[in-house]
Amino acid sequence: MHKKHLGFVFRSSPYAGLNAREGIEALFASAVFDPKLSVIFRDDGVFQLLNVNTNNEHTKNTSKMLASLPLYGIDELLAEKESLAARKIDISSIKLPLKLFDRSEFHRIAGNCDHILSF
Amino acid sequence: MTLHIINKSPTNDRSLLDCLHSLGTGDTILLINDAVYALCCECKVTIGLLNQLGEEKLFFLEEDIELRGIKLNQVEFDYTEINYLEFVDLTTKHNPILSWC
Amino acid sequence: MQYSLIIYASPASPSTITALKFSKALLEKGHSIFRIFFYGEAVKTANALQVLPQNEYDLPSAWQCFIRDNSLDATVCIAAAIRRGVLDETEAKRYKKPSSSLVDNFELSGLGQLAEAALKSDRLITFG
Repeated sequence: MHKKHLGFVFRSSPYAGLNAREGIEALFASAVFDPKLSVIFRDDGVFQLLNVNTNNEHTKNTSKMLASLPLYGIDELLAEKESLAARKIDISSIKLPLKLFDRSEFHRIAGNCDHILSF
Repeated sequence: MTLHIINKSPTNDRSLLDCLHSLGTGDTILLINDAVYALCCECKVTIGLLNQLGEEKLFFLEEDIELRGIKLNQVEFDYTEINYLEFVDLTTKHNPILSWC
Repeated sequence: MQYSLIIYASPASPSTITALKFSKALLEKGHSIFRIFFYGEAVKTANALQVLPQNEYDLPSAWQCFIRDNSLDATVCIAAAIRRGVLDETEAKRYKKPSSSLVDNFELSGLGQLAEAALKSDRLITFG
């Protein structure tokens, strides 16, 4: 049977409600079923990629959750160049094995998925 | 080809513009809920991009336009109004479906 | 075609009404619904303890009737639900809460059900 290809598009900043956290949890739960997975960070979602080391007892940080991403067998971990540049994010500071893509490629990446979940 | 669904007002939220900047040539857009306020949007960039789509690729949920009392006499781009059954047809014709929420 | 829906939006958002109307149109068109998955703020739709003013549209009840009448699978994410006060009897007992609050015909379950819905459906549509 054709292996389903799921795309997760993360567009929310880490502290915009529970969206970012619940998106990552959905991604981890899906990885258990071993579909083909593409994870796409764009718009304010790229703020999730910043490493944050402060411990704040009031809010759990998603950057620790994301650090475990490489363990989940994600096929593609992608971030949009324009979104990073527009937010002055220095990609050399990001530890995840990210591939960068141009905005003009987004429709192709999204269009290759069987289903897209966006958070 | 992807069906993009936007539900937030373009005068208050960047979803529509972010989506318009990322479309493929075969993609289709459906605007629902507050996104139908795009019909009264004055932003030249947004209008210009919507104008490139035309009535075969740009859809609005009829009921949401009526509900908001939007005047349609000054709209500067072509589009198609659809009901819920036609909304279903759009989703059978397109895949994947990307909701910009 | 077989559809699944994911709903994130709170019951106060117009998106949840759109999701219900879309679901009704799906069945009218002869499609089937594999699962409706309530996640994020949408879990509040399954809160039996909310009381709406009489002159307001009771969306949670409308969802409940639709799901019951069509024997649909309405799954509420357990992690998202219990943090927002939507508990079935088992969870209410487990966490020693004074009452359960999950409406009939909805079921609490894990996020695996969301993934399964995505993998088993021809179409997956999100209302957020």
